[in-house]
Amino acid sequence: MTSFQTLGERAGFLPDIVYENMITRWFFRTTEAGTEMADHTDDMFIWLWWFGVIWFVGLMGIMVYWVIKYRRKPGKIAPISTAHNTPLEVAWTVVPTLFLIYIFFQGFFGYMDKVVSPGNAVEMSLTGYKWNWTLVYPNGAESPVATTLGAKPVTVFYMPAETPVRLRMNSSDVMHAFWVPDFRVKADLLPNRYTSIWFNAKAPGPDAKTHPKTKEEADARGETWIESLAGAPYTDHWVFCAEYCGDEHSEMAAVIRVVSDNHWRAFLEFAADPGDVDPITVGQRVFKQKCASCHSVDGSMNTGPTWKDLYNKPGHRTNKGEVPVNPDYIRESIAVPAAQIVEGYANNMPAFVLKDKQIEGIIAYMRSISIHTPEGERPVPADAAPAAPATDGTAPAAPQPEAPKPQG
Amino acid sequence: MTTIDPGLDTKQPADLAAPAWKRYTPGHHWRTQAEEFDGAKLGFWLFLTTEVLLFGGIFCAYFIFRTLYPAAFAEGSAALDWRIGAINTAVLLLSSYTMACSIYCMQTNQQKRAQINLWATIAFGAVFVLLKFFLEYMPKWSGWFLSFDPFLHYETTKSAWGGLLVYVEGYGGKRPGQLFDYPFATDPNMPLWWSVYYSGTVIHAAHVLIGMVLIARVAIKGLKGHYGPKYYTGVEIAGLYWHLVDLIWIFLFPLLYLIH
Amino acid sequence: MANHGSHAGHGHHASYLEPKGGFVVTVWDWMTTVDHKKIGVMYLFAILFMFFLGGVAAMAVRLELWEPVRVSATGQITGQLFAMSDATSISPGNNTYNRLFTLHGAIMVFMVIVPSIPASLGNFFLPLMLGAKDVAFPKLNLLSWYIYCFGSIFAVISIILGGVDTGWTFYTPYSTTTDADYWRVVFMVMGAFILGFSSILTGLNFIVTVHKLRAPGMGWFDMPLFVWAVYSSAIIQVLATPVIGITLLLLTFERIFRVGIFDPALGGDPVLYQHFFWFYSHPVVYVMILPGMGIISDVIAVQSHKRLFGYKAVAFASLGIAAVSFIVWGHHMFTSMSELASTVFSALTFLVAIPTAVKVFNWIMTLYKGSIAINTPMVYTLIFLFLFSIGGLTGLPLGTLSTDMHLHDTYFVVAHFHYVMMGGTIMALMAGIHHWWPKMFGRMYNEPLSIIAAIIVFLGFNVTFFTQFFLGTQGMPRRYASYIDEFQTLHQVSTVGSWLLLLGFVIHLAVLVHSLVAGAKAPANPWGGLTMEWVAASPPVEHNFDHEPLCTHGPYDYETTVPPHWDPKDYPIPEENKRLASGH
Ligand code: HEA
Ligand code: HEA
Ligand code: CUA
Ligand SMILES: [Cu+2]
Repeated sequence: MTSFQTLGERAGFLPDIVYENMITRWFFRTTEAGTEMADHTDDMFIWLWWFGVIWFVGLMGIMVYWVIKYRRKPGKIAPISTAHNTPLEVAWTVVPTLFLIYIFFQGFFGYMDKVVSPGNAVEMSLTGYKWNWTLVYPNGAESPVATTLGAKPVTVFYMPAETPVRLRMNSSDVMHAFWVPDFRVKADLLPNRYTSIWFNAKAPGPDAKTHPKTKEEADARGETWIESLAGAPYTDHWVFCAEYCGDEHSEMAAVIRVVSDNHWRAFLEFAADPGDVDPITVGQRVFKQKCASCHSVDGSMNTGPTWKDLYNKPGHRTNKGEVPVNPDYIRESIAVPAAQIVEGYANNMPAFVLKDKQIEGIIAYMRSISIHTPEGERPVPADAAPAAPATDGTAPAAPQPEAPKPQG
Repeated sequence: MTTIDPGLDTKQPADLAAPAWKRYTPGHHWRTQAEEFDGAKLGFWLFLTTEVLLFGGIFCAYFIFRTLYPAAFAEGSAALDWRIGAINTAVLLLSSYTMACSIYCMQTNQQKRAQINLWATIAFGAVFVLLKFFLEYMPKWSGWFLSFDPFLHYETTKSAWGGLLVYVEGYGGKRPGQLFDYPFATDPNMPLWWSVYYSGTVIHAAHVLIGMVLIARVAIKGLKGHYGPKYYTGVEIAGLYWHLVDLIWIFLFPLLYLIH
Repeated sequence: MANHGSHAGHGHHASYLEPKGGFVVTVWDWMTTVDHKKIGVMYLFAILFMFFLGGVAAMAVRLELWEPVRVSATGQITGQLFAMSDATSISPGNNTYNRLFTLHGAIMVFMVIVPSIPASLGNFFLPLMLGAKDVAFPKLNLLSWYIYCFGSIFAVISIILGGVDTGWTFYTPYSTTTDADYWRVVFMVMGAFILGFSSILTGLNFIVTVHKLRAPGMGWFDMPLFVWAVYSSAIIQVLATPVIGITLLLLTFERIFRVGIFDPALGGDPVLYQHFFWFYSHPVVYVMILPGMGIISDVIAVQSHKRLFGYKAVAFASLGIAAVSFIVWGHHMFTSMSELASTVFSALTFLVAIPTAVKVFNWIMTLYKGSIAINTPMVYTLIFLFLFSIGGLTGLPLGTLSTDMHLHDTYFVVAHFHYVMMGGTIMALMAGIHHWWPKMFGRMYNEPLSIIAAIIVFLGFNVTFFTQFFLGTQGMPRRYASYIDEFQTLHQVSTVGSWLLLLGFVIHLAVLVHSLVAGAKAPANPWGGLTMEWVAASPPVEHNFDHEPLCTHGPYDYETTVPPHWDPKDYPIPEENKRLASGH
């Protein structure tokens, strides 16, 4: 039940069939309201739209009519007519004023709902950096799931349905803005101050998409296999960065995937321990989530140096001179990027705080994709799927995970 | 309803012997010289408003950061010697006085005194800038003092330029923002204080210099007899500008020097 | 107004366009002129040129958005107009796009629309309409023209150095850290800083002119509304520009010395920058629109030979808008401000809509019982009313807190400000250019053709920008070099529309150039205007009027006055008009 339909019914003069095909329908064609709040925002917006349309059509109608009626006739000059009319002028000053006061208050109430989060909201922390988001769940875990939206792989943030969620946000470099179009909310991420945003997502509807039921199906769809979520219905919502932040501002996206509360708890456990024994997979996962926006694994130059054949690469020079690319160097580059700047690159990598497991994973992953890796160190993948990581880079390997589409 | 007042209209042939100001005729698009004078003044007052707003920005930043980091501002202000500030204030006030005199002299056609006052004003301005640079900026920035600096009461470690400059260990480095490397700062936001201090005073000093150039120009035209009882717009305007520059310092001085 | 004004055509005073001698002499004469008319004309051409550059950048922006950037499984990049040949990362291509829209925005705002109407038409007609020989400070006027060129050169240098990718708003900390080891940003910022001075000087020149140089007999309420509008926007220019001056200065210190006033890393506050920036940049949007509104008021009255409805209301509305414009800047920062501040600014924002609405009502009411000529100026006036109303009405959802949380920094905003800036100011400028063209250059232009061009522009504009309202609400953020497939259709429609726009303007250009070289000679008062510029000859003489004109009637007393240079036979005033007039 979308807000415009409700509005269409409420505005009795519009049979839904007319309504469905009306221009208004277009405003939120690709973004169904994902929260109750969003429904109210839409009502407000549509109300303003009709308000504008009525004034506009009225005024333009009169204008065109008079232009035609009083177009110049040769030899005839305009008869004398009053150049002002106090009651009329007062009227057309006061009436809009009253409307505007009403509009302000409506907007104000809606706004208060959006900024004042309920006390029982689940709090998570969100950090923005060029050009990606890091969301940390209450249990300290981060989402290991990725999909593609637009040109690049993006992280999937699982969120509980019908539960107020509050994000505590800040930025580790320039300003960003966290925008969920379906929720009609956005807030800036500032480097020097915490901001927050909250929402209470609707549950996935009857026609919602569902998670793969078997591992085979998951592999076929190119999605992460999460046993505890087999067949669970979900709704996806786009997340965009709405404050200009540089080269890949337009790629700084993510996906919010709303599942039922229990499924969400199940997911949290999975996220805390994705249970993959194979460090390469872990490393590749971390790469996709955090590093792919600047580093490539196909040898292509990017904001940062490529990882292909980087491990143990001879003649790797930084501002500290020639250094061996070994685990210590990698650890340092992750924790204190500014410590050494690779020749030919600028110092614009933010510092990352990773778990040992993740760092080990990255090291293993780098080893697996470097020809310079000494035979002794070359990792032996646990299962048979090691080839994939090696070829897979910023460009997601086919079969493509399907980009999230609005439901219905 | 404007009316053409024949009074000061001077379009009659002038005798070339008379000084320029006697022969002055208003711009072709002005009806009377009186109107031209008023116009010039109105225009310049508007310009002064813009100057005030420009410094308004600085003051605004000052107050915001002072409320954010009062400690840093107190500590920073303590690092300034109020006596230098006071001297500079006095100098500027004097200069404002001489400026006012020069205008009066022009109105009463005492060309010689007008000249003296104008150049005196410039001299005071120069003193202000020199004090600022050699007694304030140079030591704070680099730690180098003039050896005869009356306010120098630290023992010096080395000297340069045949003893003209002397160095005080650990005094310099009070610089804005990232350039800041004063070792003994206790408050982490000291750099910001210095940013505000330098932004404010440097922009003000620049205005002093501009004012000096303006007055010099007026003075030289004065030498050629351009100004006199009947026409002294240039002097008047230079005066207005100078008073504003003075006024702004009157605000900067307590805000920067006297808040600890 | 002047009954014994100039006897146009009497050869004894030469037109201001008369060459002073050989080519070199003439050029030198123009370069050193203090004649407000020549300066106005020089401004007009400079601004149209800049408009052309900005338009070209816009075309490139639209082309880039023709299709989204895609990266294939093999790392192939498609959909990037400016991808480097060997690009294996999408960053360089995006980076170029970011420089493009920054260039577009900066040129259009700082070099086109802010100076556009006041500096060109304002310079030319303000003194004429007041019956003055020139602006108050002619030398200052020439100076501000050179400052304008100087500032533009700075901007051009920064483009030659590789352009700037900050967006026209130069938000910190991005603007203080991007391209850290290049001088481009400094040059662009300094350029805007210098342009500010030109704007201030023009502004105070106009204020003094209006106060001191009105023709004998012209009281404040005998002034044409164009003068009122330019006067109001001059006040804003003088009061708001210094603040952007200091802001950009601090921004430069920030980049060169890292003083950190806006840099969180050094304890500074980026939101403070936003406050400073918008304290100027919101009032300045009314600097953009007010002179446009002035043109509309004058054109609508002159072209429909009708007293403007509610003269005083419109005059005071201009001042009212100027006053309120200073206290609404926060509506650009709803997503980065405290709840309280946002609420206050939202309330104030609606205040500014009221005087604007009043003006629109008065304009439309003026048409009633008029005698309306359908020509390019009038067509553009109607287009203005149409587009500006849409632009203004879409400002309301942006000023409404709950909806702006969704619409902020989306294409909805982009559409809004193009409807008000392009659909408002530029359309008014086009109306003004055509309304006063005969007066400025003494030549008529091809009416039917430019009406057709106007209609093409109108259609193209709506195709280009109405689609962007949908893009915005559907989730398309602004300043995106790429987007997800869902938005492609609308983006392509918008791009096609931009081609229509280009076509329309090129036709206009052709028409006007043709008029300059081969246009029919224009009479002194082609439209039958009553304001004083129509008393002067077309083109006016050196010092505008042969005899100082006297103001003997209001600017729009059409019912009772025969327009200057018109034969009473062509303007038969009915007896009862005379009677009624003497009645009240
Ligand atoms: C010519 C320039 C111009 C003008 C005149 C306006 C006019 C208005 N603008 Fe706009 N605005 C811009 C240029 C302009 N704007 C620009 C450039 C930006 C983006 C900057 C950036 O981020 O890059 C912007 C952004 C902008 C925002 C910020 C959006 C965001 O980033 O989130 C807001 C929010 O309140 C806003 C509101 C308004 C309002 C309420 C008006 C009002 O003044 C409109 C008043 C007019 C009307 C109301 C229509 C006419 C009246 C009628 C048809 C009668 C009927 C009306 C009623 C009954 C009310 N504008
Ligand atoms: C006056 C202001 C103005 C004008 C007129 C325009 C005109 C146009 N603008 Fe722009 N625009 C801005 C001000 C303006 N813009 C600003 C401030 C921004 C924000 C930048 C930022 O985010 O930092 C912006 C951003 C902006 C964007 C968003 C970019 C992004 O967010 O990613 C887009 C995208 O479609 C766009 C498109 C256009 C188009 C197609 C035109 C077309 O209308 C252009 C048509 C004009 C021509 C084709 C030139 C033709 C001229 C001649 C032929 C010569 C002249 C001759 C005579 C007139 C006789 N503009
Ligand atoms: Cu992050 Cu835009
Ligand atoms: Cu605004």
